[in-house]
Formats: sequence, structure tokens, C-alpha cells
Amino acid sequence: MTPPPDHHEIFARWMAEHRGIVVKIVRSFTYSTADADDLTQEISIDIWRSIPKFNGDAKVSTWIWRIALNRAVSWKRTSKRIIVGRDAEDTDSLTDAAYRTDSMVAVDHIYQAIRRLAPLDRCLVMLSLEGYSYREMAEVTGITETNVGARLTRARQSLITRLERV
Amino acid sequence: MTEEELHDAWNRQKAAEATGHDATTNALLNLTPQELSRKVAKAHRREQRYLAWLNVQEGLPALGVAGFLASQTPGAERPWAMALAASIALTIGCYLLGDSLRHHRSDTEFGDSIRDRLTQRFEQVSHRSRLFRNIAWWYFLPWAAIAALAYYAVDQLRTDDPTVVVGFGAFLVVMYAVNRLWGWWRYDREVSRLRPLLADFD
Repeated sequence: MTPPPDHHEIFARWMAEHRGIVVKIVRSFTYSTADADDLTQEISIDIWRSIPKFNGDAKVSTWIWRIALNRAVSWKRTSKRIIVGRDAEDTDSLTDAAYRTDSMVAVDHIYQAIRRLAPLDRCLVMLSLEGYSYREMAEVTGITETNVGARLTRARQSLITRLERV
Repeated sequence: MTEEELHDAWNRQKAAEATGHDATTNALLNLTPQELSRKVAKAHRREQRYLAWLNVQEGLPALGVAGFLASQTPGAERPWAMALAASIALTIGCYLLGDSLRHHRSDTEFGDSIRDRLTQRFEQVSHRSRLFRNIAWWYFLPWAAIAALAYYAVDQLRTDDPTVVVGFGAFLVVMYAVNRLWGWWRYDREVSRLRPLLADFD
């Protein structure tokens, strides 16, 4: 079935405005370039498919976070190019180190630490860094608000501990 | 890095910087939104065709055999046996087709929580895993019955040579082993991967 012309338009606009969300999630869930390409494609297809279902009840950014996290958590890695203990280097060292600013390096360290968390904790930490409330996080993940609070406290503590070592 | 520094670093992460990073690592997001839109639409169509094919392919051979056996029924010495063989093949084909469409590879609903989505995926994969574990009962034994009925129905096919029976039996055993291995590789391992992931949400 051919999608209506505005389907392309909406998708292009969403991706232009919110591709940063996809980048953040892909960086938090993948360990190599091949994986990043694979997951980006799957998320993009999900976003494409979701357009007719979007009724405007939620913000587009929330909708994309939800779709992308859903895909990322259940996504199965296809690439075998992972060296235990060196996972973070694979995606984050590809940009020439000489051109990386301090803030970019700091962000790389954050992603390295996030990737070491359990998938649910990764979702909670990212959503909390984006400023989502406990209620919204509970809706996106499907766990109770109380559970969100408890999990998030532990996850953030674990993240900070890892980052303190950097 | 402290909590405040973490927030600062995350918030300073501009979309441009993020895409700048990704321009080197992610070919898709390096495209313009229009190019990406075209590419994704194409990938989506390809995926839809593939899913449609996966949904029907499992049932098609059995339905084809059912049609063939049904066409041979009038000429058989014992038509009831051939008709019975055809109806078993038809049942297997319809079951596979229906099961595939009902339990597997359908579009997921958007707006579901991550837990809902994982539960749905876990149920799909567990169902496939169960099917492969019990494949001898619902697939290979009926096929053995179909073969036996077809041999019984047509005198020309009947033979006293035991190697034919042994050969067919061996073929079924090998196919059973291959299917069990495939079920383990494709579904049992996925069940093992998803179970702790889902348990984490409890």
C-alpha cells in the first residue's frame, strides 16, 4: 500500500526535529557501527509505521522516545564484533580524537557508563536526564511509579559511581 | 563527574553535536530527512513483503500436497485413504497458516509500554519454541501417516522393499533433528534472552 504524500512529509519533519532522540538511544544500546546502523534502521521503520497511529495526545518527542526505547530494549544485536570490556570504544572512538572537544568526551563517558546499566535502568536514566516525571517514566516502561523511584535512585547512583572513576 | 556535571553534560549535548558524532558512525542519520524518508519507506515495503511471505510460506507446502493428494483421490484404488491423507495435509497447512498469522510477525501496537511489548514478544517466541519442541507430534507423525495412507491408497506405490520404509523413517528423523536444532537456535535462545529482561520489570 502506498502511503499518503504527507506521510513522507511528517516523517521527514519528525526526523529533522527529533533525530537527536534516535541518536541518543542508539548510542546507549549499541556497541559497534554495524549495530548502530541496524538499530537506527529498525527504529526509523517503527517511527514510519507509527505515523498513522499518532493522534496528537502526546508530544511528538515523547511518542518517539517511547517507540525508539521499545525497539531498542527488545532489539537483538546481530553484530558479533564485541570485545568484552572494550565495548564503549567501538562506537565512541570512531570520530578522530583530535577533533573531540571536552564536552564531547564527557558525553562519550556518559554513554559508556549508560551502556553498562541494565536495559530498564538505561531507559529510566535517559528519561530522567531528559526531564520526564516519574509518572511519565512509569507509563513508558510499564512499571509502577514507586518502582521507578527505587530503580532510578539505584541506577543513577551506579552511573555516578562509574563516572566518578573516569 | 558529579550529578550536576552529568546533567550539564547531557543537556549541552546539542542535536548538531549528536548528529555530528553519528555522521561518522551511522550512515542512515547522515542522510537528509527526505532521503531518509524515501529509504525508510522502501525498507518498510521490503519488510512488509518479507513478513507476508514468512506468514504464508510455512503452510504452503502442506496445502500444495493436500491439493495434489485430493486430485489423486478419484484414481486411487482406495480413495478414502487418499482423501484422508489429503485432509490431514490440509489440516496441517491450515493450522500452520492460521497459527503463523495469529501468533507471529504481526505489526505491534504503538503506544504500548516497554513491558507490554516485551511480554508480547516473549509470548510469541515462547509459542514458537513450544511448537518446535513438539514438532514430532503435530508435524512429523501426521506426515508419516499421510505417507502411509498414500502408499496404502495406490497399489502402484506399494512396495515390499523395507529400505523404502527405513529410508523414509530416517529422512523424518533427520528432518526432526534439523528442526529441533533450528528451534533451539532461533527461539529457545531468544526465550532465554528475554526471560531475565522481562523479569527485570517485575
